[in-house]
Amino acid sequence: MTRQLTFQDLTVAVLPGGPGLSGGTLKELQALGKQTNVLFVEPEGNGEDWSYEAILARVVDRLQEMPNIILCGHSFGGVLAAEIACNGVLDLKGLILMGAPFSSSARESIRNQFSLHMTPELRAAGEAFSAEPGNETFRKWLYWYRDLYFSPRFIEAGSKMLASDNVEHRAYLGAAKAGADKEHLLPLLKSLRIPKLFLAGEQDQLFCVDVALQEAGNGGFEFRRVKDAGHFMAFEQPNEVLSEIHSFLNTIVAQRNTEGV
Amino acid sequence: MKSVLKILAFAIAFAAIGQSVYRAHADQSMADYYEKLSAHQRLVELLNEKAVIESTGSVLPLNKRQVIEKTMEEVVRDMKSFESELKREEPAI
Repeated sequence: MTRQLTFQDLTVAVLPGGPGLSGGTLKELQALGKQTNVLFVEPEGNGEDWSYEAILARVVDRLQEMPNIILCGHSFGGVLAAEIACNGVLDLKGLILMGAPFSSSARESIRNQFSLHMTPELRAAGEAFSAEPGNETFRKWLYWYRDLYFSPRFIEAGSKMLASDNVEHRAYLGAAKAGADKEHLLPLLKSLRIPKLFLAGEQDQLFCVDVALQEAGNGGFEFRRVKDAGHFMAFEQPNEVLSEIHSFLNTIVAQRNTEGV
Repeated sequence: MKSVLKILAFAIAFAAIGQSVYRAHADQSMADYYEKLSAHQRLVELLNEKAVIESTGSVLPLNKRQVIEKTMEEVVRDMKSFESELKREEPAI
């Protein structure tokens, strides 16, 4: 008789966004560890190589031997997760994306939102980061995204969270541009025969929910809006996000056990 | 004699009109051709043309010089916009 798949057999691999943000920005997902295995995959380069490909290869290296993986990527981490899923190199049982853009129109919308919400502080922090790239200037730049990233209730707490994050600016400098054009992944994702969930913050001012809905549809994802949340939905509405992920994992386990593992 | 002169005058006028029609047509074809090129390609062609004209010891006509200057400005504009496109930061997500 085939052994039944349980929550304990699964590993949720969490990939933070940015690129260059740490798993600390998604620490609320640690609570998943009460029922299943959770692994935070921090961005790592290969020596001084912080290119998109190098970061991707390091993630694959870390996960390659693991069985029953659920990739869970936030924003840019979602792009990495999707790319890995499409490459078919892991024993993947499901894919969860939180506010991850792929198409050129989604990217254009993000750039427009970024310009639209530009403040003198955000501009100055961006210039300071360009002039003196480092973790400190990168953190300050992220701090000033504020209402682009967070719903009104969470702007202060969220910005503070980012201001103390263990960021890696080299990941941003090395990989941000290369990860910004991944439209070709959408049809591949659509043809991927694993359960796929797309979460989007209803009040996300950077990656607007309607644009996210379109991306999710084009990639063949089940789509869920997270109320009262911006781009960092796990930070803003941890209970709702955890509950969505929990139901998703339940579906995977039930489906696998019906089909036979 | 009068009628011979009339015919001659008519022939000259006809030739002049024909030539101007031909030149207008040639200019239009050239303009259409240039229209299809990028500013950079256009500048290369214009500078080649300039080199050919000047190699014969002739002076480049004023209107050609103006076209070259205008195209140069266009190329500089293109390069600046390309440069700012390269410099444009990708929002962190």
